[in-house]
Order: sequence, then structure tokens, then C-alpha cells
Amino acid sequence: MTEASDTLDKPGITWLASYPKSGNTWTRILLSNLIAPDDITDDNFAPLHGSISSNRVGLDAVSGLPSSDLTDDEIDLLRPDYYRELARTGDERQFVKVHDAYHGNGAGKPLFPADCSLGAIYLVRHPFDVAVSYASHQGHQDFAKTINHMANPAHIMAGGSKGQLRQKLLTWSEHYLTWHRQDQIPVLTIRYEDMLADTAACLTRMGRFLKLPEADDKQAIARAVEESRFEKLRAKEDEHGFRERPEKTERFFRAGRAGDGWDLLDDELRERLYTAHRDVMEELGYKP
Amino acid sequence: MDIANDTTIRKTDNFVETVVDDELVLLHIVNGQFYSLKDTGRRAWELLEDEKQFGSLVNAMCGEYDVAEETCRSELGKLFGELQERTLVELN
Amino acid sequence: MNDVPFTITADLDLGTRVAPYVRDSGGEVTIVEGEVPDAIESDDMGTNFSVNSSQFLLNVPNGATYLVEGGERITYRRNGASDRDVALFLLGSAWGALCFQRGLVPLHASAVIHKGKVHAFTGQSGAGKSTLAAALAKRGLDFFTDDVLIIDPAQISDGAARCFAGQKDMKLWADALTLTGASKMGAVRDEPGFNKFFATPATSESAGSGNLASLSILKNENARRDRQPVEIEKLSGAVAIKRLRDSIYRMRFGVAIMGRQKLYSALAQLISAVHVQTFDRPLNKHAFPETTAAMRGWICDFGKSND
Repeated sequence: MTEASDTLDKPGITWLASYPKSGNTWTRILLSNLIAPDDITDDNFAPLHGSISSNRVGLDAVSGLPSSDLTDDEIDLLRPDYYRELARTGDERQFVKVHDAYHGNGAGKPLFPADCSLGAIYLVRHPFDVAVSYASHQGHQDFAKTINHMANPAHIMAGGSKGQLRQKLLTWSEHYLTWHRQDQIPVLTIRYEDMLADTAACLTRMGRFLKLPEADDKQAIARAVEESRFEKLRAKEDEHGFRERPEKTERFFRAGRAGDGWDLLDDELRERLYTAHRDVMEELGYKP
Repeated sequence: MDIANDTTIRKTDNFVETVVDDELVLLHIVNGQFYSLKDTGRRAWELLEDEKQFGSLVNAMCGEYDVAEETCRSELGKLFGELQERTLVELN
Repeated sequence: MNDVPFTITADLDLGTRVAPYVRDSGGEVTIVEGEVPDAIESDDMGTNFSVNSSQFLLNVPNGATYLVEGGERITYRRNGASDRDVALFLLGSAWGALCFQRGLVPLHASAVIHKGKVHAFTGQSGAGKSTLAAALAKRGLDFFTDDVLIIDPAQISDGAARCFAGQKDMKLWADALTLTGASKMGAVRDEPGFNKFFATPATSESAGSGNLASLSILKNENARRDRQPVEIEKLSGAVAIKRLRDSIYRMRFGVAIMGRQKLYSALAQLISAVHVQTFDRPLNKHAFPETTAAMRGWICDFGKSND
């Protein structure tokens, strides 16, 4: 499938799906600069409509229930209708960030319903680089730990007492495979490395997939790319802070490079990653 | 917005009014938004109690502030245009 | 003067959290098991609730269904839920709807009381309201309420806003229990691994009512923006009354039940009695004693300068 759906009769949800640290925020900033440049402020780099799949406050408001008194599995029962309600009450297309793998809830329903989804842009990045970046985001340098997370089908983020809802990531490979094996929501796959090499081309592909009027406007694309450059974002973060940066990390916008993983991981760790994720790496053209 | 001197300005029923610190805050009961009037905007709103027509309101404001009549007229026109847009006043 | 805003008579054990409200018979609000419709007429529905000016319907996934009517009656259908689970969700959003139906305004806040003045903490779920109130109780301030603070708009006058404790006792996650030294009681849910517990605070205040003096909005922004880590900042003007509005519990229900005219009139009166401020502080455990001490200090000083 190379195009988002146009059969919904009201604005729906476009999912920005990825394993953590794979370019999701950068993508959101690029799309914001393309679609809504006038809404960008120092406080809000990425003012697209729509938030994150794990938005607990949103779920509480729409359900009328206190999610903090429900188990994570009970909450998953509520989530498909929550997203439907978001789509129903939004008056424009929403871009919802999602780190969850594509999976179902206890009632056998997919968490992310096709009937309110226009499509998904799936961002993927070389797992060696993900491992290193994920550690930094958690405030440490224990790469073995993040490699274990990436190989653990039970790996989750948040949930329980945390401010965000529980997100099941599965393994790094399964995360990719579940989003790509499903045939309910059209998916466009973009490699982070391709974004680095030719941002304009990737943004154009995204724009065409989303059927944006700006997709073939070369100037608008170039402008959006320029405004979203790492150096600019980092300068902004240094001056104003960045709300998605966790307390324990020094900086959200770190390097924006490819290949750090190969340099920083030792042979044994690289071998472990390759063994765990070989098939998907080969499918994506990622060398060990 | 160009408002004629004999236009009457009437406050609507669409809000609850209160003063918080030095701001006059209008809590709109239909659209749910809160609007704040400070300094000259607040004074103009207060003068509405006595000056029902746009012309006399402009005069009253000019009497209290050191401002050219044209500027006063244009600023008040803008203010009341916005207040009307938000259905806080009606202009006849 | 009553120490509770209304009394209840229930056919099930609601636990200790609303014990002061409970009467064996003749309570102003009746709570009974019974028939509950699957739907009510409504212009305003979320995924699990429907509301109109006199009725509120709530259903819990794989759990009970509740109908709250006219501020006088709560009917529940169990659907297999235990007393504990029925009570848990009854004392949440259904309780909020009940307050609005009775012309009361519930705030989503925990609070302590010091020299008759109630100091409340509000913020999103997970912001740390209950944890802070529990920690302050451990440091000698009297605990007042957890999660819900009830304002009676009819009893706001001359800069004094009478308020009531919505719940005694608390619900705390395991790490907050450890952090605050509150006394652990039973688990909130039966589910294995659900580490949230009922707890009693170190100081249990018997007064159920007081005057609301301050509202602190808990934030955690400065740490991410490299600003001064612990900051208490007064809010004024339109921003202050906006934040006060944001602290109203389940505002959407309030608008459907009471209407904005009444709610906003109550807010307009309330703002003249309540000092509104933000309390920005890091959330890491190591900072907790220091940040708690900062708020304790502020509360004790507030009392002094206003005597």
C-alpha cells in the first residue's frame, strides 16, 4: 500500500509509528514545518494536531474513568474506542505518535482501529544506533541493558503509576513486523538513514502518502527541511528547553547521525543484536 | 472597525464578569473562554455603564487619556469590533 | 454547621474513605444495588459515560454500571464486581457527578489544613498531589483530603470559601508509600501486580471542613528547561482564574449538569478567596525531602503573615 486511505468521511488519524529513538520527533517537526509553520513557537516545536497514543489525561477525559484505578489490560480494552472518539471529535486530521507495537487487546480487537485511521508512517532506524540512543535517553551508558530490552518480547514503557499509559513494544524486530504484517492500516516505511541522506525526498514521499497539497511544492519542502535541521533544533533546545526531554538526560537533540552504534558498541554486543534481529535487518538493508 | 458615533453598544448576557487583581475578566458562558481586559481596555469597558453611544465613549476616553482623537477612535473601534465578534457586546 | 456537605446511606460497605458521610438510615443520598439502564437520553457522551442535567451513567470495563440521579440516588448494577471494586469507582467519577447534581463544585485536589486554612494541591493525574499531601502529613501538617475537595458555592463570602474533605485516607502507589511513610492498608484492586494501596496519613485530621486558602498547581517543567529547580510562583489575573477552573474535577460533567453560568459565578467568587500559585519542582526521589520542606515552609509562613 503506498497511499493513505481516502475512504473515511471525516478527518481521521495518521499514526507516526516507531520504536523509540528512531526519528519520530524529527518527523513530527518536519511535518509541522510543512503543514503548520505558522503555529510553531519556541515552546512548541511540533504543533500538529494530535498527541501520543499513551496520553493518559486524554483517555481519562474521554472515558470518564480514572485510568489510575484500572489495570493496564483493562485500559487496553478502552483504547480502541478512545482513538475512535478522538477521530470523531477532531475537526482536522490528527497525527498521533505511537511507540506501541501493533497488537490487540484482551477482547481480541486491535488497539489501533482501522475505521478511524488514514494510515501510518513507520520510522525505522538501524538497531545498533537505536541501542545507543535509547540508553542515552534513559540517562545511562549500559548498552547491554538496552540490547536486552530490544530483545525482550515483554518490554514495555510506562503504565502502572507512570504518567503515560502502558505501551507494549515487543522486541525491536516484532515491533517492525507487527506493523508491517497487518493489512488494516496502510503503512509507509521510512528509514532514518534515508532521512539523513535526503530529507527532502523522504518528506516528499510522506507528503504524497498523506496526499498533502504541499507534497509537490519544492519550495515548501525545502523550507521545512531547513527549519528542521538538527543544528537549529539543538540551538532552540539550548535556549528554551524541550518539553519531551526526560529529567535525567542532558539534552534531547543529541547527534542526529548514523553509525554511532557501530563505533560505541563492542563486538559482543553487536553480535547479540545481529543474532536477535538478523531477518528484519536484512529486509531493511541494515548491515551488522 | 469603523463605528458610527450614534451606534449604541450594549453588553450581552453571555458572560460572568469579575475582577482579579487588576484585570477585568469576562468568563464567556457559551464558548467557555475567558477574556481579560487591562488598563485602557478595562477602563473603556467600565465607561460603558455611563456612555452608551460610541461617540460619547470616545469623548470620555479622550478626556481621561492623553491621546489624539483619531487614535482613540481607531483603537476603540478595534476593541469593540473584537468584543462584538466574541458576542460580549452588541452594536446597533 | 455540618462537617460534611451531605450524608449517605448505602447498602454496601464503602470502606473508610467516606466514613464521615455515612449514616445507618435517612441519609440525604441513597446508594443501592438495582436496575440500571444501558443508556440514558444525553447530548454528551464519552466512551464510558453519558450525562444530562439530572442523570449520569457510568460503566466500568468488565465491571459495575452506575446511575446517579438528581443528587439523591446512586443505583449500581454489579456485573460480578466485588464490594471493593463497586465502591472504588463509585467514589470516583460518579461521586463528582453527584456533587455537581447537588450544586457543589468538586476540585481535583489533595490538601492539608493548618490553623483552619486549607492548602490544596492540584495537577494532572500522576503530578504528585496525594504524595505531597501524605509527605506533609508525615512532617506534622494535618492531612485534610485526598483527590477531591468540595466547594459549596453557597458558602463563599467575604473572601472566605468553605470547603469539605471529599475523602479521608488515600490511595498511593507502592513507591509513594515508601517515600512518604504513610501506613499501608489493603490493596485498591484484587489484580496481582497492581501496586496501589489504601493508606492512612501520618496525621489524620478529624475536621471535615475548613476555609480554602491556597491552591498550588504542581508542575515539573523547570528541570527540563534548566531553570531554577524549585519554584513557587503566584498567579494573578485571568491566568489565576483559568487555573482555578482547570482544577475543577470532571469539568465536562459540571458543564452538562450545573451549566457554565452557575459554575463560572462560583469561580468568580472563589477566586477572591483563594491564593493561586504554581509549584514547580523536580520529580526525582532525591529531591523529595527538599521540595516537601519548601512547600511546608511556605504553608507555615502563609499562616503567620495572615494572622
